[in-house]
Amino acid sequence: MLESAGGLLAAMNPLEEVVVKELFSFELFGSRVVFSNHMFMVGLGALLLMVLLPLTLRGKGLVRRGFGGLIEATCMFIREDIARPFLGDRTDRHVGFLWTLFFFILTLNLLGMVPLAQMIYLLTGEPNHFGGAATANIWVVASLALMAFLSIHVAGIREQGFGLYVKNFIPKVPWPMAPFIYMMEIIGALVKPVSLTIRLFANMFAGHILVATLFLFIVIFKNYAVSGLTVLAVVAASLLELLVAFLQAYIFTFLSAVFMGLAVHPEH
Amino acid sequence: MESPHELNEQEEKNRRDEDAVRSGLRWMGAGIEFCAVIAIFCYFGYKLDQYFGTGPFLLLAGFFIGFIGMVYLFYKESK
Repeated sequence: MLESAGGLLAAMNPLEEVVVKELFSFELFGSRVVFSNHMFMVGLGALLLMVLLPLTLRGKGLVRRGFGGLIEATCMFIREDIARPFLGDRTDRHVGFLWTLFFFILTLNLLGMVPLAQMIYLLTGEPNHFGGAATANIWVVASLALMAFLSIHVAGIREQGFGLYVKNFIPKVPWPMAPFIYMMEIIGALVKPVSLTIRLFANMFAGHILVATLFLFIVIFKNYAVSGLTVLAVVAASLLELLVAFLQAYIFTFLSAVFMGLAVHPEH
Repeated sequence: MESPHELNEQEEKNRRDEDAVRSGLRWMGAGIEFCAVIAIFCYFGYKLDQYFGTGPFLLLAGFFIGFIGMVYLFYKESK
């Protein structure tokens, strides 16, 4: 056990969490489909949510306790403090998407903190790639932002109707300016999901790189004093990462709610 | 102990503060949006420059059109 624990750092690169690794691949319609560690983590996150969240709904009585109470308080916070100020009377129609977004991103962020591959290695002695931070993968985050983008505009079109939505897409400007302002607004609308993507991806990626770099000091200096300090620094950085995991899930959800509010209730 | 009138005033002030914070938070993503739109205009200017061989002028025009347009748009949206 100790031997395998000692071999842990040497055998496993701490940067692996943010690197895409192929778990297995298969042929589909003549092209090779790769199943990566981040896809596995996305699936694991979805599975966890699908199992854990319905469990909190069990039990009799109106007041939930323990984990159920935590989930309910979080849902209430997202509905009343994030969604309602922007969506107003339309909150209940759209809050489901925001709840899903928040819990999914939070689960992926937190799963990224779990050294799953290292734990499997300690148990089985087999080097493996089952683990990693899926939200430190720009494609995963971009898919989430694409979903948010589609939901924002579909919500706007559903609430206002297509004609009115297109008319209200820009603020009131003199008519010769309108085509130009439409062009700017369309570019702006396309940039919004990009900014969502970069914000979440960069924060998660940077956090994991920071922890990996701190671990590297042990390998570079190879003495107990630096190792002790490094472990303390890694603990501190990991605590910061926990905060970032919650904060970034909140910000992603918050900005989605803001953009959705702008689409549903045009101020101009 | 505070009078009910004072309490109401405090509540009103808190509500106004919260509203101000919320309307401010809408602009959280505005910086990236501002830069990205200008960058896209610059890129189109650059490509047109390459096509027409007009040196840096269309790129500069793209920059200023993007910049002025975004300032105008944000001014209109914030009103």
